[in-house]
Formats: sequence, C-alpha cells, structure tokens
Amino acid sequence: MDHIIDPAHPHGDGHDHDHHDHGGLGDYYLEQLLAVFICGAFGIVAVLMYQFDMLKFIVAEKFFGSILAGGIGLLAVVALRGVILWRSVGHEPVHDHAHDHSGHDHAPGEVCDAPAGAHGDADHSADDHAHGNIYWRIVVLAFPIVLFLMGLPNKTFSADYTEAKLGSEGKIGTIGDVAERGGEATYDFQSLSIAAASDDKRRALEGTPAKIKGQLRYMPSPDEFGLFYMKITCCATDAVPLKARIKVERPSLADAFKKNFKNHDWVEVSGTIQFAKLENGEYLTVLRVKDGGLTKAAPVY
Amino acid sequence: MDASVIQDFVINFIAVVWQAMPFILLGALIAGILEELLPQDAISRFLPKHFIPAVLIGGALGLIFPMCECGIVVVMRRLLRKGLPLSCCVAYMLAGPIVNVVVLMSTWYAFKEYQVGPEGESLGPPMVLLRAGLGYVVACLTGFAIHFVEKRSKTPLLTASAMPPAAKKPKLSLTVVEAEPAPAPKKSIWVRLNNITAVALHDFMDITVFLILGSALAALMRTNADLVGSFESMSRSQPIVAIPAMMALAVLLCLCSEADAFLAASFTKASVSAKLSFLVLGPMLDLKLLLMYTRVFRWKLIAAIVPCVVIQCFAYSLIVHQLYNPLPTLSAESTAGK
Repeated sequence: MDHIIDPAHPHGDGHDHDHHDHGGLGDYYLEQLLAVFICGAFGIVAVLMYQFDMLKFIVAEKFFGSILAGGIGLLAVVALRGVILWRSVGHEPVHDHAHDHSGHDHAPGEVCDAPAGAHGDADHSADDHAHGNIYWRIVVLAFPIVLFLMGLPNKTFSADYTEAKLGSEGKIGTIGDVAERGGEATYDFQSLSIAAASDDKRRALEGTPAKIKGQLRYMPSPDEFGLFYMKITCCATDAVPLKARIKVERPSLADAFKKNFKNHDWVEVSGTIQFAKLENGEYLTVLRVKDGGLTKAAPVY
Repeated sequence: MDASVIQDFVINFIAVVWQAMPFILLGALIAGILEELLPQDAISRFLPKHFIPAVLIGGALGLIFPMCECGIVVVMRRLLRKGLPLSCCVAYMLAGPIVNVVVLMSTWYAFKEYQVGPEGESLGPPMVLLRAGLGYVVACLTGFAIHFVEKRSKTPLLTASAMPPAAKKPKLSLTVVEAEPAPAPKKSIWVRLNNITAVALHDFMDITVFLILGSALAALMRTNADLVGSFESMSRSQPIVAIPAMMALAVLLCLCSEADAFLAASFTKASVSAKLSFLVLGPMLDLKLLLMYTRVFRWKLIAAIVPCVVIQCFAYSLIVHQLYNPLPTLSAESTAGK
C-alpha cells in the first residue's frame, strides 16, 4: 500500500489509469496539494466561524467546541501532510494512496512486478480510485467555504419559515385570575414547558413570578401575544419551538406593546405564571403581564 | 428567488455540514489508523466464523464503539478492507447509530416528560426499548439478508475502495523448496504517519463531498417548513398513512441520531408507532447517507439494503401500533428540547 513509486513506475503496459498515470508525478503532487489546500481551507473556516461567533446561527452551543476542535484537528493533519509532501519532493516521492492493486501490495520501495493487466478496472476506475477525480470534489467542497466568504450564515431562519414551524396556536379564551404568590422567579423557558405537562409542577409554579426571554408573536386575540423560543438540540434543522402565551392586563396595553415591539422581536417578559387548558386537553403556560412587563432583549441563541 | 428562501436553504444546508464535520474527521482519523495499524487478519481471528453470531455481534458493536451515522460510514469502509464480513458490517452500520449509549440516553431524555396512559407513565423507557430493539432487529435481519445476497451475487457489491485486498498469489517458482513467508518490512514512523494522514484526508474529502451533496438536497426539501407540519398532522388512527409519512420525513430531514428524538417528541399529534418509525429509519437511511453509501456500496447492494430496511421499519412499526398505542395523558404544547 505504501510503496514508493519510481518515476518510471513500471506497472506494465496494460496498466492504464483513466484519469492519470503514475508516471505523471506532477499530477500526483498537484492532486495532493489540492487536497491539502481544500482541507486546510475547511479547517480555517471552521476556526473562523467559531472566532466570528457565526456558529450560533446554525448549531447548539455544545457543538461550538467540537467544531473548533475539528477545525484545529484538520489543520494539524493538513500541516503534517504538507510537511510529508514537502519532504518527499526531490527524494523518493511517497505514493501512499489507499488502494490495493488487485490482490497485490507493494512493500516500501518495492517495484510492482505484476504482469501487464493485473491492475484491473475494478481497482483503478475513475470513480473509485483513491486520488481520482479530485477536481469536481474540490468544487463541491468549496461550496461551504464560498458561503463563509460571502458572510453566511449571518442570521437565523426567516420569519416565514419560523411562522410555518410555529403553526397555528389555539385560543386560550377566558381564563380566571391567578392569585400572585410571590416566591422565587422562574427564568428558564424550558422549565415552564416541562411544568405545563405535570400536575405537580403546575401547582407548584402557578401564581409565582417569571422573567423569561423569547420572541414575541402577534396573535389575533386583542389581549394576547405568543412567546416562543426555537430550541436547538444539535443543529438548526432540529429546532423545535417552546411556546407560551402572554396575556396582558387589558387590550389597550396590548396596543401599546404593539407600538413598541414588532412581530418576532426579542423581549423579556416579566409576569405571573398561570396554566391554561387548551381545547385539545393539553396545558399551555400563560404569563399574566401588567404595565412594563415587556422589555427589549438581546437575542438568545 | 425570494431572499428569505435562500437564507433558509443556507441555514438548513450549512448547519448539517458543520455539525457533522468534526465527526467525519474523527471517523477519517480512526479509518487511517485502522488501515495502517490493524493487521489484515485481526478481525477474522476474533470474529465468529459463522455469519449468524458474527452479524449479531456486529449489530451490538455500537455499544462498544459508538459512532454517529456520518462517521460510521468512513470507519466501516476501512473495516471492510480489513476483512470484516459485509453482513456484519451492514449490521454495525445500521444499528450503530441507534444502539449506542449516547443516542439511547438522548431518546430517554426527549421522551421522559411525555406521559401516556391513564396512569401517566413516562414514555421515555418504552421509547428507548422500542427504538433499540427495533433498530437491532432491523439491522441484524438486514445483515442476514445481505449475507445471502453476497453469496449469490456474481458481481462485486462493494466499491473498489472498500474491497479487502485479496490474498497474495504465490509467485511461480521452478524450485520445489517451500520458501518461508517473507517478514513484512518494518515501516518507519514517518511512513506510518504519511499513510495515516493520506488515508484520513482522502476519506475526509471523499465522504464530506457526499455529505455536502446530500445536505444540499435535504435543505432544498426542508426549506418548505409546511412540509413538516403536514406530515406531523397525520391522524393517529391512520397508521398506514402516518407511518410511511414519518419515515419519508426521516429520509428528507437528515437529522443526527442524537437529536432526532427531540424533534420526534415534539410531534405531539403523532402516534408512538409513527414516531418510532421516524427514529428507527432516520439513522439508517436518509438523503445524505444514501449518497455517502455510494462511496462504499455499489448500487446493486444499496438496492438490496434500502427495501430491506424500509419494509422492516414499516412492518414493525405497524405491529407496534397494534400492540402499543397509548394516548397521551397530559402534555405541554411542546415538551421537546428538554
């Protein structure tokens, strides 16, 4: 596998490659250098995306480290490969691609003594050969790199896409007042979602204060807003919305909020926790909000 | 084209590519090390000779060597070259991304607050057992099927880059004295490093290209977010429709097996069986994996694996629907992502 090729490379007359011949050392080095170049670019982009805080738009925070490590690891492998290639120039060029020659391997330095034609098509077809067809692969691999050079990604999903993901939300209609009990405030959207599904947790939290960050969603009802947070587990494609409802004290207050906050704006909601039963039997977290209960907030990714 | 559509496409596309990148690199490095350091006959020495126990072991290898579905393709190709039987490899490739501790823990976590039945039992444990059980059964039975396909096939089923090197033929000699096999030449660390990095970079490029193509294809589908909603809204009372719909969704979405359970849990309207079909098929077959498989398997073999997996997923999910279809006790509008 790791034979060293002689520039003359006596593989026999019948040994044809449909994309390159082993005698073309220039081609071999060109392919290897292109591989080093494109993989190096991939590694650099991974590091820069971490550095420029662009990963927050596409993956969960727990993957930031692994992408950075992947980028650094790739750069290390590329650097090593580059040094090896550099060393081999002018010496014995190391031909170390990972294919076998139809049932025979070469030891280092061993000249291939297979008869002409022993390197069958199965080994050396353009499609399967280890270092064949690198050029179109470079083009495909360059796609994410070009997107990065264009400054993408630079935002999250569009409003239309987010609305489609959120779907329609049922009315909660008239719900009774909730007695404010004070106590420790809830700050976590997820905790509220979990609590809505459990009798015990609903009882424990109802009437207590909450201070939650999320995105505002206009609703048809005059005194209600939706509140949502697109929760990403691994990457943006698996985002699922956590939802709650904001019920304001009076419709005029809702109008005032609408003047200050646009649809899908990031807000911090301060209110009292309540749970409302929807028509389908499920419970939804409701935040009862008074004057000053909505403030602008920085996006949370 | 609308700018927002392009924006959504870019995010859907690029998110999968960059999330998978470190895992493909890890797989490629393992592949390079395996190729260089694992002796050619090491696997065959330890694996049972009979295909049934070998496949059963292959299906459970994920418990010892947990790999995601992207990384496993790279490693598997090298294991095939090292002589791991194809049937065993297929079982590992299909079951590995499901039957491993990380994925099963995330499945339990995603469903633990989802209560079903009159007693309000957590759906976490049954989903973990059903997912692991069905994943293992589908993978092993597919492995058995591939064993027979391989035996009857007259043409190669693997691409050249995945085929193990054939045994060296003895050189013609006029002497009758049997020569001692020549000892393998000792390689320097430099040569070994050269081979490992060459294989790692080659495999990284080779698989990432097809990851990119598959992710782009999937992103085109996913850009229509209404699609997901319409699949989800399939009625619980129509499993014949809902199960294949969720299976199709799994193929289109190309999710990581660590994350798919959270999305499945958010499909509050879907039945357990439909969610299960989504969770079992997704790590075995999706658009990006289909393209990545072409670097290892020839189309003839892919054409054998795909129907085998799809039919089994559908059939077992249907059986589960008949035997276990609990109604939700109480659930939040979305309990996913916890």
